[in-house]
Amino acid sequence: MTEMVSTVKQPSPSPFFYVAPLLIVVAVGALFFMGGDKQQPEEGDGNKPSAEVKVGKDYYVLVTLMEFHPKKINGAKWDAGDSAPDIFYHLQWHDKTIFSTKNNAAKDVLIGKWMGLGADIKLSDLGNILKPGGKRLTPLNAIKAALISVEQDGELVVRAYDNDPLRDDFAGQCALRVTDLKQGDNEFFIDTNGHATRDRDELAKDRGGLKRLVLRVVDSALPIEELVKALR
Amino acid sequence: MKPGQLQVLLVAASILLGVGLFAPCMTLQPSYGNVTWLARLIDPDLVAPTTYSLLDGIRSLLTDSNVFIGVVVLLFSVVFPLWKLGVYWAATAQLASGQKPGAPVRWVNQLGKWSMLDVFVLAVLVVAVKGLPGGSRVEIEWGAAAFCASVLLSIYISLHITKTSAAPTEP
Repeated sequence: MTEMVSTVKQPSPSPFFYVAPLLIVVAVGALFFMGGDKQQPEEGDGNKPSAEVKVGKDYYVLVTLMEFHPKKINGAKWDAGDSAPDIFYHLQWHDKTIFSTKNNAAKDVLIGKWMGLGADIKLSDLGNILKPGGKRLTPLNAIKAALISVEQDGELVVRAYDNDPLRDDFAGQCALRVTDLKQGDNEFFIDTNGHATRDRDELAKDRGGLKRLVLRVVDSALPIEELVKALR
Repeated sequence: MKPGQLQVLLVAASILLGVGLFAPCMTLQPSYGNVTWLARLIDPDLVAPTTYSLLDGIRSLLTDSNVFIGVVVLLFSVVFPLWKLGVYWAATAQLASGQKPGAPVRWVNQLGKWSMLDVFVLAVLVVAVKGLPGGSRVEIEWGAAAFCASVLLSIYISLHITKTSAAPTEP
């Protein structure tokens, strides 16, 4: 194959033509970066109280956070020495205890936190779980929350305790009208009369015992993925 | 095709290249089979989908001790396409002024045979089609399509430049 080669020196094209694609690509990249800054997802408010609960529907409820005053209601120390209480709670509905964290007390704290999910797996069970036809481990049996139904005049009572080897110390309770609850996290403060209020300003500062709690309410009819997300 | 029209196509190819480099190229959706929900409990990030652009992939290669592969991919997926488009742009300017494109166009056409398009498409297809453990999936995003479109458009432009420059000039 032969090529015609010109003997006349051609003027070189402007360097601009060589860098033009680079400039366009950089401009496109800049647009992506600017667009990416605007699309920051909003996180952290997924469990803010939203819709009120509906009568006749079933909801999972659990206390995700509970705070005690530094002293008991009677002004005494929680434990011998300066040890903080081992916080746990019971949930009572229709005068029956339907959920308890006595076996999962938050030890030596003034603020205890719990999750709505957890798997109690013994090491000896692990082999069975991993077998194809072995023990079933489903999200439903990992839910650590009480299931209640919303009824008119229904009441949910949260009873808080300090776990002690001899006798558990009662720290206070919170009686809540179920129809007043909202889906998501409901924060309550204990006022000077020992009643629960949503108003932080009414918090009894020197009362002792239970100080505040956060009650999470999750629609039990949510798809399992949403349920896991809401209870986590 | 007139040089002006080729330049419009070059602008389009450059934009597509930019999109192909910066836009999401693939999304990895991790899965752990029947215990995916448990993994989500332990650490939500374990099951969070991760999206990569072509430049993200190159950066990962360069920072994860795969410098050689990273440099090769960088050269043939970023530097060479940019240089190629620049050369074509200069060639269209020469054609517009009645000159023949110079040697750089011949070099680019020769080196174009080493373009990474076929390797890129193959790699993306293998990853997308091959089943990953635990049901993890790789989804091809629109950035990959933009990159391929840019390469194909530049091939189309090169054919027209070659054809135009080979045509006999009027006396």
